[in-house]
Amino acid sequence: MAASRNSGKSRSQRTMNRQVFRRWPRFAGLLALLIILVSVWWSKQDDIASVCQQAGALLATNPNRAVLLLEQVVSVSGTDAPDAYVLWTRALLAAGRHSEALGCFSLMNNPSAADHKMLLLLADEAVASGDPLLARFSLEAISPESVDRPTALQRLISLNQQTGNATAIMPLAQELLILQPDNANSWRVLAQVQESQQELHAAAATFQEVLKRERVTDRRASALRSLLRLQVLLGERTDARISLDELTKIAPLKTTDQINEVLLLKLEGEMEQAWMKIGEVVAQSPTNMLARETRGTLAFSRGENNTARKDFEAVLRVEPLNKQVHYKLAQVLLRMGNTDDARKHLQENRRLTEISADILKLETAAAEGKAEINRLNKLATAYDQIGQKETATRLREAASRLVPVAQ
Amino acid sequence: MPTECRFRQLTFVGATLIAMFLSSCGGSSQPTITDESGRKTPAATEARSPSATSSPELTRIRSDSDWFDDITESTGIVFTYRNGAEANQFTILETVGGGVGIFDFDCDRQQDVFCVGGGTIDPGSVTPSGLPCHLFHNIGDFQFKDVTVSGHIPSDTDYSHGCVAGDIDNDGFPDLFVTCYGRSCLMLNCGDGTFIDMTNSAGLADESWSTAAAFGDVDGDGSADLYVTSYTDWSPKSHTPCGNSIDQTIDVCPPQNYNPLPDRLYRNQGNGEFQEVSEEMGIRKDGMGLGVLAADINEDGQVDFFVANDAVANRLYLSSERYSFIETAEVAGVAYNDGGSPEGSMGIDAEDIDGDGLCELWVTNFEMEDNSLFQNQGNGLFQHATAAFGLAGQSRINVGFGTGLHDLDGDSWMDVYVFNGHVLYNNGLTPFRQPAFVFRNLDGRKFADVTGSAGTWFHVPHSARGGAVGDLDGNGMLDLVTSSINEPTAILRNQLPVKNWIRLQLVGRHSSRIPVGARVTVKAFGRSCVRLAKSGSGFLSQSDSRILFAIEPERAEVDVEVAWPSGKYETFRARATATDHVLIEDSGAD
Repeated sequence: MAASRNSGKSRSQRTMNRQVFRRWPRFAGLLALLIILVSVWWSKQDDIASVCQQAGALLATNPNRAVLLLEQVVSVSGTDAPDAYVLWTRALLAAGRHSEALGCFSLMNNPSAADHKMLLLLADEAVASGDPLLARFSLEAISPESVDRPTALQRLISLNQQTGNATAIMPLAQELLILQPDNANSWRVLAQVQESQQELHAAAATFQEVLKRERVTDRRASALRSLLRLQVLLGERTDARISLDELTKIAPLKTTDQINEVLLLKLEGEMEQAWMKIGEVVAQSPTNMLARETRGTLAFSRGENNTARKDFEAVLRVEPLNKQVHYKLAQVLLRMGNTDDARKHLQENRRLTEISADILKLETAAAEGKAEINRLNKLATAYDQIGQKETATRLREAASRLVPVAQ
Repeated sequence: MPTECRFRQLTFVGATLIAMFLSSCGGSSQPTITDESGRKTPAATEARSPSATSSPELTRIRSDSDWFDDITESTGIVFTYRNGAEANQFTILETVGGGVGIFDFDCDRQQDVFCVGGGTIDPGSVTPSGLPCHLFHNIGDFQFKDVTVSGHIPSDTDYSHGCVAGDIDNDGFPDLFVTCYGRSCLMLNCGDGTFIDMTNSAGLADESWSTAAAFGDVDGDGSADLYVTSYTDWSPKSHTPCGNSIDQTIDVCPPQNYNPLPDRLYRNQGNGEFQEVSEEMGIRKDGMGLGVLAADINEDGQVDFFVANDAVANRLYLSSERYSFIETAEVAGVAYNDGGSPEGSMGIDAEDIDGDGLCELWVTNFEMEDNSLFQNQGNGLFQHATAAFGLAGQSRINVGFGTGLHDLDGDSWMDVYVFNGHVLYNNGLTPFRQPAFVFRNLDGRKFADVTGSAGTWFHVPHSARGGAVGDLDGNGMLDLVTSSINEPTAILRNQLPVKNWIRLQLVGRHSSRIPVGARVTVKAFGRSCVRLAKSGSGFLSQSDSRILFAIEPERAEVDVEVAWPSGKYETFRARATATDHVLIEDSGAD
């Protein structure tokens, strides 16, 4: 039975071999065609890689030439070469052709298919050349499954902080924490976001989480500094004292820490100790304006009006638009009987306070979606008046983007 | 006085004439006694309280007990201030809450309780409607009877916030002004235990949003004038809720989203009518007023006003010789905190905290701000002294509302209570209900947080707003009545050991009958203790207006110096054994 089966198999195998040999020329033709096609494709890919490499090398020196090379590549490859598209975008960016760069990137069907490292690079370059929108698109293209997603999230957070897009930040920070729950840095980022959004209680609690996970001394000290600052702001004197004690054990106190110590002593009602301490801080760092303002405030409360006056005047020389210090100096001058000068500082305080109130109203309106062009321009003017030029510029740019496109 | 009211009063007076004659509400008969120097001085009228005659009360020592015992359930006071939150409209109107009043409306020498009603909000039109205020008659021994329904007070008030008592017709019966969103209400006390609505005929039918109010005779004509703070121009028509800054859930909009409404000062014409004199008296139009205090702040014998504004500078109106005001908050150093920033100020009070005879100013503030204690330096200048008095930091996580400077433990130093509660429903960071605090004044140098021993009510967070302080059982210790949003009003009996005291009710003759602006000095515990006759202090509330002094246990008599708003200085010799006195202007020694 086995022999007959073997003989049967041999027979059918022989039949098949005969058929193959009979059709061989056709198979050979197909195979040759396949080999040719693969070779062409391979050589094309090789060409694309080679041209991309060549273009990449030209990015810094001759970006326009790089653009030309990459145009040829993408015209051949279509949207099948996402890396080439990213490189093309980078080249356009390097050539200062921002609108085209943005347009180029938006032509990609699936930017997530591009190399994520290259997308990170593009984002960095876009930020450096003042194109946050392209940077955002690039970073958002890095998919949640990617190992580069945490880096992308951190940069997106930073980007949104720079552009003042506060509402977008929190979900990003929370996603980062979900991806890396045991990473102290994820908690640190969340804490910083919370602090920037004035969620001070939450930020303090999150910095405590950082401290549970952070083992590197420098970073622990940094987290403790932030925590101390927040606890002082929140008036949590007992907890702040604990943080300060721990910080003192692991790192030398910086000037800001020492000022926080002074503020903590003030919270504790230890005004004499606070006074002694701020004297030391100012002696060490006479040009630190926060230290001078703090000493001025304490001096005023002690009736040491000359010291207070000198400190506040020093601060105003550096920060002439500091409305609070104008008010404080006016108070000192009134107690010194110098009503004329006091009146001037009160008037300046009033002027700056009115501008601040305008800013608050305009910002509230903008946050409610009433970001009209005139409102944003007014806001920019108000920021100009209080010396915040960068914010003013940002608002003017935002206003310019609101200009309707001509039909 | 309207005919209806006059008829009611005559009927009532006929029945109670004798009782009234010697009391503060009607009479002014004064015996004279000889003081230590042999000089004949009129003695203060004595009106011993029930407990003052009860020696066990005077000697009771309860060293381990809490300061306050929540006895609400046994008092008969069943009331809840409603703010209309159930409509889910998240209006800024709901954030203000309401106050409570302690005053003796029927002049029976027992302090009654008035609860401001609040209101509801229509879920469709967002239109607010008022709920009735309630009046609880003190029938003694911490028992109260709700006399609202028997027609004692007008029942058709608008959405109400605050109350202040004053005697607008100098008849000895305290009248009430209830502030509202819409038409505030002047309730004239008819003297028979009932009130009638005199708002329209008095010319006070302003339809804007009024919050706090204070009475004080600003023009020296002997009639109580009226200061009313206004908040913002929010209206149902313009209402849109705001997104919470944290997670964009719907919540109440901040006051900065609206325009401030001007405060109003009304001059009492002496004929039952009031005339608005805000502009000519120098009242500014740019505040968002939530608290006002009338008292003599700069020791010139005239009524001044201190106004607590939300989000913008506070205002200090000092009277000038020409019967107008000079606003001096910035110059005086009370406009902003010690960082030079405006605060969200709500509650307000003034008393001598440090024992130097000058009155300090005190305001409660929004979260992330310390409550501000402005220490009086003299010469019209104040120093932010919150930190120096150990009060920094403790309140930063809370939103402070009701407050008051009172000697709660009977040691002659003014302590302070602070009621808290957030204005945002869905803050997510700090809760809507927040704990209250009591700080004990340690010999005028510092305050110590004694909340831990303040009593069970203080151990639970509340959405607290108004608070009134008064001696509800006449034992010489100050009790507390609280008003919280959508929570039962609480009666907190002071159960600290009773010490020696005297209590003074000032009755003006040349000054207005309730002489707001008077300053009273008593030498006790080796120093001069100064108290102010004031109106409008606290938050939207009226506290017991009698002036209480702690006295050394061994003292039998004390000299009481009164600087009346009329400019007259008088000295009264008063018996100093847990006694009430009525001091009538022109009946003391010059």
